[in-house]
Amino acid sequence: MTRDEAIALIEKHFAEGGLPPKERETLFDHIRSHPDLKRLYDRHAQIELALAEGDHVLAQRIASSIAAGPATAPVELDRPRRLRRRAFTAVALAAAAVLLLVLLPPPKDGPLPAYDLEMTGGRDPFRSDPAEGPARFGPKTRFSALLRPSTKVGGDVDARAALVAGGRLYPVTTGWRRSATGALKLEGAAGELFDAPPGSYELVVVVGRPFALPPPEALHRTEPGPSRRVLRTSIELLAR
Amino acid sequence: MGDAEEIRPSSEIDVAALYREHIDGVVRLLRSGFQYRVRGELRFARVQSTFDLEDVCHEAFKAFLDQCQKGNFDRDRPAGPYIRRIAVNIALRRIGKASREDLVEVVETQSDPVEQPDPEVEEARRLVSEFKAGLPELDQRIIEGCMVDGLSQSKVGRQLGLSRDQVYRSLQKSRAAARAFFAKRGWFDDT
Repeated sequence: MTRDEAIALIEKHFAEGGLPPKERETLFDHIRSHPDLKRLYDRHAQIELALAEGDHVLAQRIASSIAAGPATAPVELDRPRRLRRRAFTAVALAAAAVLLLVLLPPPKDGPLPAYDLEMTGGRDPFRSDPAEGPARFGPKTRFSALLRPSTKVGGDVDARAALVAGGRLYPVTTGWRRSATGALKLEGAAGELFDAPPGSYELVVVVGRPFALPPPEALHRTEPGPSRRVLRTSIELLAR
Repeated sequence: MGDAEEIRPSSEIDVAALYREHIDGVVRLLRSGFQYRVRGELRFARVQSTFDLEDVCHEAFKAFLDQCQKGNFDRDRPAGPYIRRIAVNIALRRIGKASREDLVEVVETQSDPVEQPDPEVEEARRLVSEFKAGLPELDQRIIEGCMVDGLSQSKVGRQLGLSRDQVYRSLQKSRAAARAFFAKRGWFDDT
């Protein structure tokens, strides 16, 4: 990374209130060995803290920097465990929250129509037909996924995806591009999109209103609802 | 922080919830400072650089999650003190106050009794007051809601009759304007 590229990323970080995890890690790796850039980062941060009239935003800033993906991947998935009284309390609270959501008037962003997932790219032509087997992607193979709504969608809509296999979950941290009709597209080289070892995976995609999207590590157990759709398909990552 | 507030991580780790629960305590400790004993000597340290603070926090949580995944953390114990201890050790190594070989004992967490106001912070506050006074009232209210009060952009939008996108764009515009305002006054000249 050049100095100019690092400065551009620092400016983007503070202009947009954060960076995607991979960009943030690249920037931080670079700054660690460049005290002058650390000084520049801190000077930007001082403006941010002064705008917020205190340091109380620091914790929020740091926590929100993982909003697009956890600091570590993969995350270990569910295992049987002992039930505790706390778990019962959590379930009761969750049920109450769901009931409250049902009883309250719908939010400004309305329910979503059905979505289809279309994947292109891969070593073999692929069109979600199980008879053809999963699409296969080498690290440099182009991957493209299109989420197409059955009718035009207004308001905010976003998507999150992850690969799941063998009790492990690998979040996709690259953002989806949105069209005016509410379609969303994710594309790039498979090796850049999927930070996972070679093998067979289930690709889980949740598309929905931003408030209805689960955290990345909970994608595999997300249930569909009026404000979100869950789509699944199989893919295979190749070593080369 | 009492035990009742602590997350006891299970085999399924909600990373976002873990951050939300414990990040305040870690930031407060590193920012305000802590006393520690190394090689028998009592010392005080704090992390002053915002970059170092963010970096140490991320590294501490990552180390904690690694320990959980390796099964090295007893999940019936509260997570907060363990994460804060990891953060202190990383911070001390980062700011060159202790090596990996030193046995560090955190004695007490308290602010430096001789803390002086930071002139850079005071200058930033003065410039921000001047900057905010020149903004349209709506942009000022968006900054107050999102940045000072810490409300979500959607909530601030609802309060002001705006969409979340409009709030987001206003914040972006204000941040860029603030940067330009500070740059014009030499804020970045020494970087």
